[in-house]
Amino acid sequence: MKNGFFLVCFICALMWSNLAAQSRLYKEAVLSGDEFYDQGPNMHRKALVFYLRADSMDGSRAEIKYRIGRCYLNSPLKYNAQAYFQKAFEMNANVAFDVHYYLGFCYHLDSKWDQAQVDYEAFKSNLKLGKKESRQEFAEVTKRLEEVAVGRKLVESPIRAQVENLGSGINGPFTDYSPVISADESVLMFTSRRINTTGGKIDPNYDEYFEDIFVSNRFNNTWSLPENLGPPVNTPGHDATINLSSDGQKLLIYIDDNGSGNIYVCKLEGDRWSNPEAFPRQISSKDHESAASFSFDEKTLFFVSDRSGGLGGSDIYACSLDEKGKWGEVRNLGPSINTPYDEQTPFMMPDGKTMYFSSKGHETMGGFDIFKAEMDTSGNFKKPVNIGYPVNTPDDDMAFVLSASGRHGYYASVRKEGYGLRDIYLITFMGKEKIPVLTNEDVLLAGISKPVIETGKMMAKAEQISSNNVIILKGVILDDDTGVPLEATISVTDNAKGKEVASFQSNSKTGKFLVSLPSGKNYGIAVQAPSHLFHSENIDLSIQVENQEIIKEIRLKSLSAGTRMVLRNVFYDFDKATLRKESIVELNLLVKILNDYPTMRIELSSHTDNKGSERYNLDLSQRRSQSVMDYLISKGIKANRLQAVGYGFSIPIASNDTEQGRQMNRRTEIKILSK
Amino acid sequence: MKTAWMMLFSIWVTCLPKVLLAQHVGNSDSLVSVGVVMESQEAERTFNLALTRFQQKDYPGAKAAFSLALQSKPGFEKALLNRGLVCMELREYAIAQSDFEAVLRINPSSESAQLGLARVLSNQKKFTEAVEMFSKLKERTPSNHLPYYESGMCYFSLGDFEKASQEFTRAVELKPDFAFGWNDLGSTKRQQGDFQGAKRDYQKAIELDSQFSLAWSNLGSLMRITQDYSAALDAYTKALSMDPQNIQTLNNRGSVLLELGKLDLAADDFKAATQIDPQYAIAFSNLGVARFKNKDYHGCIDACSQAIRLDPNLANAFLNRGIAKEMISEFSSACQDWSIAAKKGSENAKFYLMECPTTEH
Repeated sequence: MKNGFFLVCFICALMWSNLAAQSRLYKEAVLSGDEFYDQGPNMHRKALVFYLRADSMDGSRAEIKYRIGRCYLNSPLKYNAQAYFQKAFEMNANVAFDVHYYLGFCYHLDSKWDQAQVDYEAFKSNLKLGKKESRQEFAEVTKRLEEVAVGRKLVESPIRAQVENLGSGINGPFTDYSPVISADESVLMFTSRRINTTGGKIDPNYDEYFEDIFVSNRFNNTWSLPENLGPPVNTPGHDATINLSSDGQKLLIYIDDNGSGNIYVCKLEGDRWSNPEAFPRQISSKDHESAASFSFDEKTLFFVSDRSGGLGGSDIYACSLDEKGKWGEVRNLGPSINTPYDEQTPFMMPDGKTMYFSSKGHETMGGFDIFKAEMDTSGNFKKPVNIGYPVNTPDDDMAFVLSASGRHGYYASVRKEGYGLRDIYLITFMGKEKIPVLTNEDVLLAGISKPVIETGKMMAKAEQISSNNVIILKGVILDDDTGVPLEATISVTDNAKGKEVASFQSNSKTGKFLVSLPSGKNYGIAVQAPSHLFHSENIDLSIQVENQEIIKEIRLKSLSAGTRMVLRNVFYDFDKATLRKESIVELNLLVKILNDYPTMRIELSSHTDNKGSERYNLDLSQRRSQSVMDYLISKGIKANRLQAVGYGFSIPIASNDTEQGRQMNRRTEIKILSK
Repeated sequence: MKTAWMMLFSIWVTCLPKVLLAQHVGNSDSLVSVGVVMESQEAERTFNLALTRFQQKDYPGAKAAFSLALQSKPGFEKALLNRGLVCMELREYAIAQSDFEAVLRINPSSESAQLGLARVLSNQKKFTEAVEMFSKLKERTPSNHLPYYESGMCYFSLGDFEKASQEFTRAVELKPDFAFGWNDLGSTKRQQGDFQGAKRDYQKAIELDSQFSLAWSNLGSLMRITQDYSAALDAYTKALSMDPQNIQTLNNRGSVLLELGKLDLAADDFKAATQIDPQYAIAFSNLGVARFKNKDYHGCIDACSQAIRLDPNLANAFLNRGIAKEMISEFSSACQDWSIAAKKGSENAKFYLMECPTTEH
């Protein structure tokens, strides 16, 4: 029991000791943070480390969160501030009298115009206007509200420009600003507070490295890694770019001069910059001169000074060379350019009348904005114009320079996407808005899209064809004695015209043939093969007939005594013995055989059907066979080789009871008597 | 079976161009020697075969068959006329003109040949000669609306809208239900700036032929010109419901959809036009515009480049590609495109070039 008591006491003591140590560490972190915080905005980044440590140990203190927000606003991570102000306000709405102001400012930086306006107005409404501090704060928040209105308007009608960070090759995690470029954009010089500045020391007043000038060259649209310009331009103190003359031969630089800040000029001698030369005292005064630009003829210097007698803050002044080449009196550019707020970084265009500069006093959307002012014929500047969003932002936009082409601008801007506290950006001006053009085409005339009368309707109509029906005559040609297939010639004759219209061969291997005969004609078919008597067929299609197929087995007889054949294409006038012209083709085939076999003798016989008397038919058939004989004689065949006989209806080859049979019986035959 | 075989054979026979044809068909067991005898109406049969081929839109085949008919029967007037008409379809205007002239030598009163010859002249852009030929036809057949109508088309093509209007008006007076005439009269009025009159005439054409897609399309274009985009969209949609493959109407409806801010639907129409005709450069150029408005500048450049490949004379494709290139900071290349567009007549490009260095002009 006693031991247990001691154990509990020991654990409690240990916990107490741990809590006490934590409490001590927390207090130390807060005290350290406070120490830096109270030194002003330049030390807030150091304070931030301690406040964040304290907040991680005890996140319940609204005031610490508020201070973290303030510190973030002065760091490269200023967009982190909003969440801390928001939390601080939620934990304690009275955490600081200006918490609404800073919340408004955070929204303002983030272009959240409505929310910014709400918080700014909340802050403004809490101010007690009797107090001097409050009057200043009233003026400040009133200006912020004006900036919000300007910002809202500018964002609604952006200019045609693209803004892009020059990239991590140029910009680093430190501060990079004040770019100057050669006319052809091949050389970029700028000021940087990076780690390798001359002397390598940190300015305790800003907790940043001393400024040096760096140079980068552009090859194939890529900027080379920046190099320190080195002595005599850079020194261990602050050395910063200001501007480059139009001809690129004179570089205006800023030298700190132990805090007084003055403008110097370096001249390009060969490929080296000369020692910086100071301007006379009316320009480089005991006050702070930080920026300048030559006029196109280098006879006037426009420069910035916070000397007394100005309109407030830093103002832009002008000083010209007199006839003897000496810098004359300095003159303030007056209220058209200068305001009670700061004006900075003038840049005179080669046209001699246009000046770009930065101002917090004109109609800005927050911090420094870039303005353009044009000089009238009497040498006075007209009212400056904000060059607009997206070049200008709610934060500082400064040190604008424009390429000779007018296409590109370079400047320093504080943006969310930046690499450091301030980065160098390239602006590409797009000129007037360009609208792509649609292309349309119409077929206006109907007659072009489609003929008013289609060609088909203009065409002459189809020709009348007597018949489209076709008779197919097919079969096989064989040797009558052996039954062997024969390759024979099939001659097709238009009997009406007495002309051969076609000639084919039967297949040599099979003896088969197929002949297409369009209807409308009387065809004579003669089949001939060597050493064989020809065979004839008559196919009369002169009367329109339906499609049909005729199959014939044609057996060709050898040329030997006793062989008979019907001449199917020998025709006579009705009831007469007169040969009709349709008979000529076939009779000529007979003439040919008789000529080919000059010793051959044949009988020519004619036959009738049984219509009429026997005597009559015998006479008719005799006369008909004689007609054939006469024709052959007329063709040179000797009469002694021919024998004409009329058989009447004594040797029918078919029945005389049918028309078809009678037709077959009406015939002329030949018979080989001797070869 | 036998009948079908006969029919097939008959068709085969009909299609044979020669007087006689013999060949062996079948396998070794059934080798048959085949012979075909054609009738003496060879030229007429070939002529009819040519007509069949024309109906099948086999224009080269039809032309060959008419030529064969003419070989068989020189001076075959109908074959000469029809070959001329087929050659018009084939855009072989020299042959067409020669054939029509041959018909007129055989038969000077052939109206078809006169009309064909006038059309050949018109198609060859010999509008003045064509107008003379149509005038002769007007004298021969004063109540025929067609010579007036075709004459109007010639005047329209010559840019003489006053005379075109007179001719089209006469054509519709002679034939009041002539929808083509009303459409073309509307188009003439459109060219004369008489948009109300044009609208009435297009509507009259549609009233006469509700399926007249071209009149709907032209009404849509008239509405587009007068910036009544909703009405234009309706008219184009109507036209496309009748003629869904019409690339010009698809392209024009895409333009209207773009004007109405319906970027995706517009792009769909332009793409559809290019799918129907992959050579249609204008739709590619307009697809580029749709992509530009969607801030797809690279896509715009791709589409315009395709348009330029298809039609290197399309000034707007160069202009639009230049504008897209400017948006992605390719200024030098943008200026080069504007320079080409300016040389091809784009006034906008000439204006934009003023922003470019003189070396890029």
